[in-house]
Amino acid sequence: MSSLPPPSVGDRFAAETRPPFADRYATWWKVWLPIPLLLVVLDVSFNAWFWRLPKLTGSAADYSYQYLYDLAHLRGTKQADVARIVVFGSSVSSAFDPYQVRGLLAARGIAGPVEVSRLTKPGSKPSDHRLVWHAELDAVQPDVAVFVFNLVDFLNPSFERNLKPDIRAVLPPWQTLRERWRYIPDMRERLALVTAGVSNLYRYRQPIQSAVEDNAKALYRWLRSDDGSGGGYGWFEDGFTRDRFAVPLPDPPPAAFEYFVHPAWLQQRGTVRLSFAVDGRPLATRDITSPGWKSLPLEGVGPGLLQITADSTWSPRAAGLGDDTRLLGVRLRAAPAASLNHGQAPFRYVQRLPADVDDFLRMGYARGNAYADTWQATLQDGSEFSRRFRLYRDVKLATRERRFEPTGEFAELRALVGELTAAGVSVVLINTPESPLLEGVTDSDFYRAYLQFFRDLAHDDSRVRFVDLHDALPAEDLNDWHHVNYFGQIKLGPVFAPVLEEELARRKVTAGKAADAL
Amino acid sequence: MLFNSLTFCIFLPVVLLLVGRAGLNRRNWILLAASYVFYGAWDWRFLALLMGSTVVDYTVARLMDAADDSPRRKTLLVISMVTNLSVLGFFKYFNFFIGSAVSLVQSLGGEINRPALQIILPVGISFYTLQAMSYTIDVYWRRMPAIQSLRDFALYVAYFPQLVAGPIERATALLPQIQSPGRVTPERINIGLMLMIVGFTKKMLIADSIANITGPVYSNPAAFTAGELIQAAYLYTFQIYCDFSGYSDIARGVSELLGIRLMQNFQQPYLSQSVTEFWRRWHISLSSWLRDYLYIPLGGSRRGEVRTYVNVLLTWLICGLWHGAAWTFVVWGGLNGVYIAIERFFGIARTPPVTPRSPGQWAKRVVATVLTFHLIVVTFIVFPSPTFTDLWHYLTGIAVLDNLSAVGMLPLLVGAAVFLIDIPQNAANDDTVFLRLPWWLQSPLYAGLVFAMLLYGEREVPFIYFQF
Repeated sequence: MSSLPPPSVGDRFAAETRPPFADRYATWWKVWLPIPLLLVVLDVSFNAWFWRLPKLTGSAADYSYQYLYDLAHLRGTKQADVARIVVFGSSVSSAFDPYQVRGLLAARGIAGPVEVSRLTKPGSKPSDHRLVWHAELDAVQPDVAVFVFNLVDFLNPSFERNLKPDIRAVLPPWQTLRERWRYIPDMRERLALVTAGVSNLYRYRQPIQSAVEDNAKALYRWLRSDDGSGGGYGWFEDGFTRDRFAVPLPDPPPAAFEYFVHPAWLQQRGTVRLSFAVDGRPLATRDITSPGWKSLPLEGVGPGLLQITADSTWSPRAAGLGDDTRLLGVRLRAAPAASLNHGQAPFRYVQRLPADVDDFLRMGYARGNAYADTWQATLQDGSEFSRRFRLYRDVKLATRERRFEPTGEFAELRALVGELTAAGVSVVLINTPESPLLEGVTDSDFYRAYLQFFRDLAHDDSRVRFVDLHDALPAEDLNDWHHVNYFGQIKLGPVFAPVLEEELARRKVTAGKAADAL
Repeated sequence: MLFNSLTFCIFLPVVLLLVGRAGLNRRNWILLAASYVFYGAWDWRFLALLMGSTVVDYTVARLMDAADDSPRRKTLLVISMVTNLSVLGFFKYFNFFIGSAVSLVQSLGGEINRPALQIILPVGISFYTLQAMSYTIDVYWRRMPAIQSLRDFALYVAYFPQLVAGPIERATALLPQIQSPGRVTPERINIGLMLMIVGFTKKMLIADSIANITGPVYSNPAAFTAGELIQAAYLYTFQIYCDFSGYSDIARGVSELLGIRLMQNFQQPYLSQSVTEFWRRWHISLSSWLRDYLYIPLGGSRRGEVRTYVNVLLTWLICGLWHGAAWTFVVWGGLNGVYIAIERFFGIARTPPVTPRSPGQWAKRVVATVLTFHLIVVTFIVFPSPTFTDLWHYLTGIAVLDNLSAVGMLPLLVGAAVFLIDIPQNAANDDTVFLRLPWWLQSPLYAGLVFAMLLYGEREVPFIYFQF
């Protein structure tokens, strides 16, 4: 072949052994060796740095990131004197607002500090939760595990279907491979799980991506934001405010700043914390446990912008006070002049706080028959959402023709409850509301047997409680067939709190008896 | 197997390890086996097709080499051509030609039903068919002797880095390297890894990010405003370049690590000052193949002006048809042919590209480049349109000129990212120019890009040219 002519086409290097500019290249190992080294260091040290980055957005922005972030913060952080309640479930578990319940528990005066967290992963099933708890129970060490579920969670077993990538993202890879090997038909998915098992950067690539994007967006917002010194912000004409608001102080300022804390706020949240600052400088913090007019002395405070941040909001509609759908903070004696309300709230690095209400309200603010009409129109509008919920309707209605068999996901739940109670964890099972618009589902033999299954679980073990809320809310407090909206969520908090208080008290009594016996 | 897949991330190091430890004889067996595994990962049944094509062309070339008389050689060449083109024609064009014939008969009032035959297009068939054909034609023209080793010829046809989307290598360039591969030197490692990084950046970080925007627009243009259609046209122009040239860069990079140098398939085409120059820089291996094995044998420019224009148009119509079995591809090819014919008529094709030295020349160059770019954008409205109806909706949608603000800054941002790679390469006339940067600049830059690919690699979007 040496007699072959040189290539007739190709780049100018084709027939040469060395590129003409090779002498000017950087030394190859200096360029390339640091790259795998850097990646290995980042990978090995991942858990030491990544979870310390604040999560900037709400859970709906990336449920997998939120789930893994919350789980990472629970690992190895259990304090002996703090009772830890961990709520988990699919999207329906958003009916439980951990921040609200913690506030309500604190307000009920239970002994000792309580920590309430929630692990929500839409689409997850009891079999998925069992995988997670099997891997994480020792590290998380909950005292009470609250499983919030709906009938829909049991109708399509996870372990019998190809794992959806977004569910796979939150499952422990090795455990998943061991238990689901035969249900993962695609070799690429198995390979992905193996890689996730050996590399943190690969396993957590989705949360890293979200964190990078969230920070890039925050940087953009920060560059475009003003410092909030342009004027007041965050109040309504009737004197009510949002959770963050600011009023300009005149020169000289008044002797005190007066504000009203509505009783419904404390009913819904237990306690309220207000933080005061002037032109960004912290001034005072108030923990409010009783309603009424309050006063903050302003002696020695010069003119400037008084900025107030509440740790929560309250809903007049959820309190039964008419159709006012706003989420409110305090009330002022009188709203400042509208001309002063031209500033924007200053840039906040973490855009959403745990106290923020999840803003899911698909059906607008309709009530009664208007709600039912809107829902029917939504079901028929041809969107992906409507297709999915027509399917859910059909699947739920089809249970009326089925015989209840406690197999599949039910058996997985029984096993999970067994594992948790064997580890000394109390279990609370909460069946979430069904929309009254889906008639015929809950009065079937199947549904009665379904409820009986959970009653039996609770009956068999004193550490297991069952709370049935299937008819607890009107349709207008739900987004769809089974997801509550934020009015429903706020209403359910006061239902959860006494159950958990009771369980914590029972644990205390049991622990006391055990100590006496010793 | 996709380059941008986890499977390939494991496949490549294994192959490099095995090849690195093997002698020449075992090396080519390993590479051949790896190539078949790479191809068979899509659909192992089509391996038979690849092997069949290999055996036919190998045998024909050997017989041709041994034959002295011209008629026998010609007969053997015809056998090779008919075999290759029949296979390509059946798998790629059967439904197209049958469908077109049925439509023609029906439009003339005849009654005929379209036969229902579901044919799957084997990945890369258009590429390896041309590559195999160029070998038998070269042997026929006595540009090279027939190769003795079936294994080496099989590797030439199936060499995995360039098997499914090129570059379409010539036997005269690739076979000697297969038979006597170069040593994997630090320069080759540098070049190989850098080309892979550039290729993956173009594909995974630029092209795949745009795909979500352009896909819905081209599949249903009637649903979008003029501003959105114009934006998608610009974005698709960058997407297809980054997708295809990204593939070529990765293929070249991988091959460098195996000690085999592949040809440069793209030379910063969007910096061209004419469409003629564009086609000297875009998919170079195809355009030079068409020039050497179609345009010149048709007579090229040697048989008078009229015949030259006919040859140009014919070559470009066939080029369009090679890209896909649809009339819109034929129109796309024809449009490029018309551009080139017009440039030839006005003498633009013979004008060498301007190397600007004064502000006036710079201005001339910028105008020529921008104009050429926009002529190419027009062709990329035609190219991905599934049907003439969609194309019509696209063009009439733009003509409405509504919501023009929707064009936005995105095409400029994407263009800036593309030209950040292309302009230095073009200015230095060297696509390895980034290797001349200091190591402390290169290393974090590449690490950042690798990190970004790790985050966005989940998508595993197939390369656009796989469908051809």
